[in-house]
Amino acid sequence: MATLPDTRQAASSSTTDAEPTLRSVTAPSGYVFPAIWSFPPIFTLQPNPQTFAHQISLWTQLLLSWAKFHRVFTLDAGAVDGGDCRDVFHNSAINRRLQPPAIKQFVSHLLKEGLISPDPPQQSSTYLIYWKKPEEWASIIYTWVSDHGLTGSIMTFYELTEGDMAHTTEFYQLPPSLLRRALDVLVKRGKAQVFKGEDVAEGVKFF
Amino acid sequence: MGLACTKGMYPKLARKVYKLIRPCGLTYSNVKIPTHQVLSVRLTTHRLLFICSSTPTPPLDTKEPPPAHLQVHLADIRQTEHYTGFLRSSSKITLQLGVPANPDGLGDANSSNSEQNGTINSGVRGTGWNRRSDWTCRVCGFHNEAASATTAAGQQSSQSRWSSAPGATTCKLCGIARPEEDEPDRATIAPSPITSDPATLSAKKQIPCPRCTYLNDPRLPNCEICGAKITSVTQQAEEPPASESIRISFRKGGDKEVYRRLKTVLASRTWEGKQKLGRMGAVRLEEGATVSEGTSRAGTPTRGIGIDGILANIDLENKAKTEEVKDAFEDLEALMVRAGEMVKLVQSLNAKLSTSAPKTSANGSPDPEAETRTFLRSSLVQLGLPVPAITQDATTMKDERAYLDALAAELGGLLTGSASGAEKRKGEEGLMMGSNGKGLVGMDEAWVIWNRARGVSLVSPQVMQKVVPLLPAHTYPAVEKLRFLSGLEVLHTPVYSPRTFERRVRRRLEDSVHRLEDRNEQTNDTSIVNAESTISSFCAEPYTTTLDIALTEGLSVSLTKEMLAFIEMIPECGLVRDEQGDGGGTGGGMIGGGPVEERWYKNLISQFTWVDVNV
Repeated sequence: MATLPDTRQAASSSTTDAEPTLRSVTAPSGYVFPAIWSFPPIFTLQPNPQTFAHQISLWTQLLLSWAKFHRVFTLDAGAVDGGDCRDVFHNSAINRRLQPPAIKQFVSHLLKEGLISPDPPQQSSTYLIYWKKPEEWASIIYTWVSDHGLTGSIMTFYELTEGDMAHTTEFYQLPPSLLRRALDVLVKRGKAQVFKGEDVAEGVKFF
Repeated sequence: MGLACTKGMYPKLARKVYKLIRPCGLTYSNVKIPTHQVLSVRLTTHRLLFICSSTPTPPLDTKEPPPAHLQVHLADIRQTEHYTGFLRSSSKITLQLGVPANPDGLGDANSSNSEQNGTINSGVRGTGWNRRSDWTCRVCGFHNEAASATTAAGQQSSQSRWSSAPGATTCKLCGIARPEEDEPDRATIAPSPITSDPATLSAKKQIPCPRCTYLNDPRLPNCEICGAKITSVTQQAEEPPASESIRISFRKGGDKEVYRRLKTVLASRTWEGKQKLGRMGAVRLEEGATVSEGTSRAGTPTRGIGIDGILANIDLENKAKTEEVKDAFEDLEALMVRAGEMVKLVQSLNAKLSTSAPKTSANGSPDPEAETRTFLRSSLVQLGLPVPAITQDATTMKDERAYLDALAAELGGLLTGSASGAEKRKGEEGLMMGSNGKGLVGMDEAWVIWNRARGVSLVSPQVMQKVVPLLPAHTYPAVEKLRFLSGLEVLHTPVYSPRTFERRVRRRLEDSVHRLEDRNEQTNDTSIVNAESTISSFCAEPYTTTLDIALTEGLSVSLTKEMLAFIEMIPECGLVRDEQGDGGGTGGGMIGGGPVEERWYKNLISQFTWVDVNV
């Protein structure tokens, strides 16, 4: 079916693997949605197990890509429209959205894959999206710290994610909860020590 | 009249006899009855019988037969009392007798009579001792009252009074003895007190005229005096007894047993609904004959009595049965004659329809009348099988397999219209083949049609379940069974197999892609600008709806739904669903405002791989 010529697809430069009648959509933010995002059935979970498996993997890929692109860290499964992720769950052009039951199913799949984690723990509405796992965040932070010769010094959490030096880092404006999980990994590895401070003024010392 | 208790009635009324032979004496309304002091009590479900087992002292001054046996209808007993006895007084059972108001008005007619006759008029009566009612002298016509009669008889002792010699009572005015026939002791009484004793129990007795009360010879149809028709209606008249009491003294014990039994029998009320003769006097007398050796009397013309009666009843029943059977056979024969006519009618109707069918309307559009005709004709064809229905015993096949094979062939012939074995009829179309055939038929529908075709030799669903797996071997094209996810089972031709069905739907979708592209190319210049500027025109993937598919395939919507639900579960299925369609599709629209209709797309999900271009 991909062999069918499509004149308009040629004009569109954003995708390479689009279906003849479907084309990628570029959102105002500059994010390029895949062509399948414009395919209405993708918003209905398919009963066929084969199709469903592929569909859910496409959704996973899309969600992580989209969240990474927009630096969205939280997923609100309890919200009707998907909370922070409403833009990916809803395609207004074709008037299709991932319905709450479908989102629930999707979330449980993501949980199983370890790609999201409830935050705070022991509840099932808000999740942290691990488009980078805490381990990855930990290595990125530690690399950055050692690259900047900050080992041995004490930094507050705020300094780390909001400070002037962090502007250019990947972990800029990382949510504190996610930062804590990343630092926990480092603590376990014996590369950092977390100090209990007053309120936000929590500190961390890297070794 | 069956008023008196006779031998013949004895087995009829008394369904169950409790043999309670207890010596006892009888006291009526506080007066000892001298003739009935050595009695044995017999209790049946209907009556209490007092049987004079031996009559040691028959009244010497009379030519009367020995004292007769007495009976009390249990229905007349209002109350029972038991006195256990004290010192020299023996134990007693007291029965309070009474009859409720007569429902048919006879009681009213006789009530005055009853009052006149005094308190002891009704109830206990007998040839032996009951002479206490009023009577009218046949000579002077003087109305003698019971009490005065007694005085007229001259200070009779109670003993002689009870002994009831026929001449004991004489007219107060003229001194003529009271005639024996005139005694009101036959338990039947005319409305008039004058003829209060119709003496109906014997053919010798005279019958009072209902109008003038003249006593006529029973053989006369009309009254000698006034010419009124003499009927036996008067005999039906009964006398309502006033309440009175009987006391049974048990001098030798046994009272407790009798009383207990009596209570049980009274509580069971077996006599209810069986006493067609109505209520009679509380105590009736056995006329002459004893219970044990009496003869059947001719007093009950309408009812068989004794063995004769039973035999007559059996005869009657047999006759009725024979009549019924005869009627039934006549009906059956008539039906068989009609059946031939019915077949002829169907054939002629079919022929008529066939000849009129070619006349289709000229303008090409299907003529509704023609459609009706075709439908009628096809249903007529479906009404019968070309060959008689195959049954297990009709076939000589021994094993079940052969039988099932034959059945499968029969069903296959019905479904595909090409019965193997029978020569193929030209133009005949099976249920699932031909222009009107349905490629997908529910098992239930097929079963019903099959059974309709088979007529009376029906096939059970179990047998059908066994036959269906054999169908593909006996049908061309092969008809197979398909079980949907909901459990619904259908029969389908190869054209309607899920794979073929899916391919067909997909091809139609692809065809519509081509049509879309053709249209796009034609309007390329204008649309390309719009397509670039608005994203709303991007959803160009063709789809179809369940309703569209149902219309195209000629299936019911529910069957289509089931079929598609089955198809989409097949591995590598080429169709995917979209449940959020707003229904404003390709002519589908909402169905009765129901749930949103599914749209079906070619499966683009399974093959889709996405290379993320976002950094």
